[in-house]
Amino acid sequence: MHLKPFIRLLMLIACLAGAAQSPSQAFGAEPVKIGVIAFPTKAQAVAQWQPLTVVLKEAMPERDFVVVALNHTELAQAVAARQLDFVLTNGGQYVLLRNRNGLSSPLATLASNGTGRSLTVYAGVIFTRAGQADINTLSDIKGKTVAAVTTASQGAYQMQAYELSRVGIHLPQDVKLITNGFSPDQVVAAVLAGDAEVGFVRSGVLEGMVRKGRLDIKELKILNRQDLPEFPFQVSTRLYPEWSFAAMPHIDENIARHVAAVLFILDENKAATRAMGIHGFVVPADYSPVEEVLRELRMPPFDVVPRFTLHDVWARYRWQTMGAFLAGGVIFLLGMIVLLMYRRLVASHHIVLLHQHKLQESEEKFRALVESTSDWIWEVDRNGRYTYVSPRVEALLGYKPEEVLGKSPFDLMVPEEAQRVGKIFAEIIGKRLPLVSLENTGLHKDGRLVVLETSAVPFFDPQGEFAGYRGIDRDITERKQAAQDVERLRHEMALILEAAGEGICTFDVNGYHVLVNPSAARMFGYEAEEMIGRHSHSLWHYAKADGTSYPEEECPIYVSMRDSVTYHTESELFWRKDGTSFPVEYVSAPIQSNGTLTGGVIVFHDITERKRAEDKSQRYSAELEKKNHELREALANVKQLTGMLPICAYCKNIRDDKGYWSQVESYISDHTQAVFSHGMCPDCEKKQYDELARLKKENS
Amino acid sequence: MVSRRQCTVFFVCVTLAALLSVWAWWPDKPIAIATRIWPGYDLMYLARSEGWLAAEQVRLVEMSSGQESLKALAEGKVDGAAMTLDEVLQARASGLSLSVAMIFDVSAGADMLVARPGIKTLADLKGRRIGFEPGSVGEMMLVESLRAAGLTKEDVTLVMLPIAQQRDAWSRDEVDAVVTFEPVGTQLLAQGALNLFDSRQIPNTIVDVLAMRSDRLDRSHAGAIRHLIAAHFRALEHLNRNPQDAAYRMAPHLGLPVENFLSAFKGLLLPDAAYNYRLLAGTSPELLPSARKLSAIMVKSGLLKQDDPLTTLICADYLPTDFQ
Repeated sequence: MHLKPFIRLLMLIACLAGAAQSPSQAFGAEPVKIGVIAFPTKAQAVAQWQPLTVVLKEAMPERDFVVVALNHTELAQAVAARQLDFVLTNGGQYVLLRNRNGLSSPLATLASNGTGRSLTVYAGVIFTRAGQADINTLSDIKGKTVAAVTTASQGAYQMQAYELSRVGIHLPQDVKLITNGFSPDQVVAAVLAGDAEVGFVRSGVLEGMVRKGRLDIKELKILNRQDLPEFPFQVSTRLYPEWSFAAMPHIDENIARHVAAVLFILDENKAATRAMGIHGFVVPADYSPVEEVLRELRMPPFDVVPRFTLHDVWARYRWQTMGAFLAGGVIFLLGMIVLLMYRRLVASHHIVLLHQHKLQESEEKFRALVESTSDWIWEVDRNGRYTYVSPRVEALLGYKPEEVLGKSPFDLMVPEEAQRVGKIFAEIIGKRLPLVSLENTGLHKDGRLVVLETSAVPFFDPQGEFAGYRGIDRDITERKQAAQDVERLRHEMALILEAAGEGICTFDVNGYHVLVNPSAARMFGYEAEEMIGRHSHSLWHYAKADGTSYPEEECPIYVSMRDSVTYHTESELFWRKDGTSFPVEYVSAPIQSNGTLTGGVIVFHDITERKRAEDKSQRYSAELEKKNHELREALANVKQLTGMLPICAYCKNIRDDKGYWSQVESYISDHTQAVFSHGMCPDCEKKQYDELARLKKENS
Repeated sequence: MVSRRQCTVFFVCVTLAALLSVWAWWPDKPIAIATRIWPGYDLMYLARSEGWLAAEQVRLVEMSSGQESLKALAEGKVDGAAMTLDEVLQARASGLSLSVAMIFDVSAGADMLVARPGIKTLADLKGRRIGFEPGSVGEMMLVESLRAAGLTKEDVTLVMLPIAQQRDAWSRDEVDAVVTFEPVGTQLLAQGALNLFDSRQIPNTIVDVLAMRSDRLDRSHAGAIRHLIAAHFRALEHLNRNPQDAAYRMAPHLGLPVENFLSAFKGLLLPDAAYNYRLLAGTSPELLPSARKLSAIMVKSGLLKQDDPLTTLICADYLPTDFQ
């Protein structure tokens, strides 16, 4: 592609010569304009492609051919303005112009010259400075400064951008892109100078610079180097078809055909191809890979995002969409079912909790009842082994519950008792009957015997199989003892009552006989049994001694009960069965239990004999008393005037038998019933007054 | 309360979901594929070098001959192999159950009998030394070409030559003719050999396929097999779309100059996914009649003792489904 200046000059002269001849031969015809991309520069491009016009002129002397070198923008404008007839440009621009301006399919694809070989493909190169340690792979380019010729350049931008997009780096936004009118050489210079960290050029540029001595390849590091041993240049991208030679749509088909024919046999014209620095032209390549690059990069003409509607989604992903909806529906449905079930579960869980709580409460209640009761509650399995025992067992038998679990009731008995009870148990249990108050004797841990009363009912598992017994044991040792004591007392009492000579009767609060001892019955002339339950008062206490009715209210026995006092008398009489009576001495007392009147008791004996004896002795006593009285009267008379009274001859005092002297009047008063009244006799009075008068006289 | 029926529904759903997730998360096992140097198979290598074929899923094992591939398959060292349909039939006849999962290419001239310039017609082969690769498509090509020439094996001197030795044997003048295939065929033609007989005379008979051991056609290997087939089609698309780029990338592996690369494919039809569907899938896969014919030829030429019933020969389950 690089023209030796000498040949270039030769060609220019030839061209000018041809141009000078042309007007006469192609009268009035417009020159055929061939637009080429200005690569590397406009002047170089014009100089490079000028020989082509010469070759074309030779083939079609009647037409003139002109090469117009244009940059990408100018080329696009010129095509749009229909100022050109043929276009030689890179694949990217060709696709753009074809889509926008209806450029023809390529007539031919350029075969460039790669170190003497025909190259119908080229590629892009991505490089950095050899010393740039932080850039080694494509991924490292993100955020770096990148120098490129222009974004419209296929080999120096688009190919590289496509490779980068495949590793997730999107140009231009992911890098700092510099494209201010660089030529390829300037891109390399910018990278070497450090103005840019990465450079993009088309394949062959670096090798060309090396060949001209303008670059030492060791100064650069090629990124994403492709291992293509057959390709003469280092490349970083895929290979794409070389430049395309295309005709404008308006071009005369005849000219187009002739131009194409010239292009295809151009390689035979070694002088011309050498002058152009190319290998020739080959049949047009498929530019669809180029198109794909532009599409991927969303570059013109594919920079407009196609409208993508829901309909497109449906058309493209119908089954997926339907599947997604179906799956979503199923998931939703399942979710709803789960939610529903969850809510029901929560509700039932709540109910279960409530029940459980109640159950617990009830269980606690029953447990408390079971464990607080004085009875021992237990459960045995179908083999007669304890599966539950209430703590009470310790109080009854001295064992802790855990010591009893697993044992059988017979382990808690002496062998003889176990044998006895075993027989009874076996019969009842064999019939699955309840045990009712079965008395048996257990062996306490300390060795003493405990009388137990066992009651139990069989229970059955949910399948209706016999599962064991649940029951209750009651310690009846004391009760048993008490009953024996009572029996003994009753016996003793019966003996006492039997033996007692006194009649003894008890009756209830209403006076009905409860107990009558044999003595009492004999005295009344009844059989004891006859009297039991009959009203006492009306049976033997209905009348007084004179035969008048004896109202119960007046009866001392009744009164003693009513007033809760003990009454003793000897003056009453009781009536026999035969209507006779007998005097009695009796003591009647109320019977109280805990302060409440429950009845009365009377103890009596017949005092007929005693009465009789008393009557006799009374009679004797009365006689004796009479005699005594008489005697006493006589004695009283004697007392008054008998005896010798020593009397003082002077004062007339009397000496008593004890030797004391007392005045006569007091003595008489003491020993008689006579009393004294004191006075003065006239003699004494005279005497006395005389005395007094004398004394008065003396005193005065 | 939750009814028994709801419970059943619930548990069925849970079981289904569990099964689905197990299905989805079933671990994928990698596969190993035996290959040989052959343009039709080389797209797998392009896919590998371009990163379209994950090495951790599919391991490509290069073999020097079809016999070696068969041995590795029989020993279970590889799960599948790129091989010719006649080799598949032979393997099946020997008791190794193989199924065709994809067709790489259909030979339409890529297999040939080439001879030294002095030998102008097939009949001239009489009494000559003919090199061929035994037990493979080469033997069948030999039998077919001899039959076309009206000759028998006794009329010629047979030299067993694996493909790798054919060029050397040719240059050492150890053979007068050789039954060969691309790219050696093109190389020998370039050295002045003449093409006397090629696979265009027995169309649709020499087919290169991806043969998988039938016991590997299960859930755990499905991912890798699909991946391999998809990668092959992607490479094929690249070859079709950008043949020049593909040429530069594939030519070194095949040992061909880039200029001759595309011509090495000239005798080959490379069926894409849709074409593969036509050949392998549907109610009457096109491969079946060809295989039946091939089986008949092979029985006639003594390569097979009896006709292959062709049951389970084809398994199109791993072909991509999203082609347009």
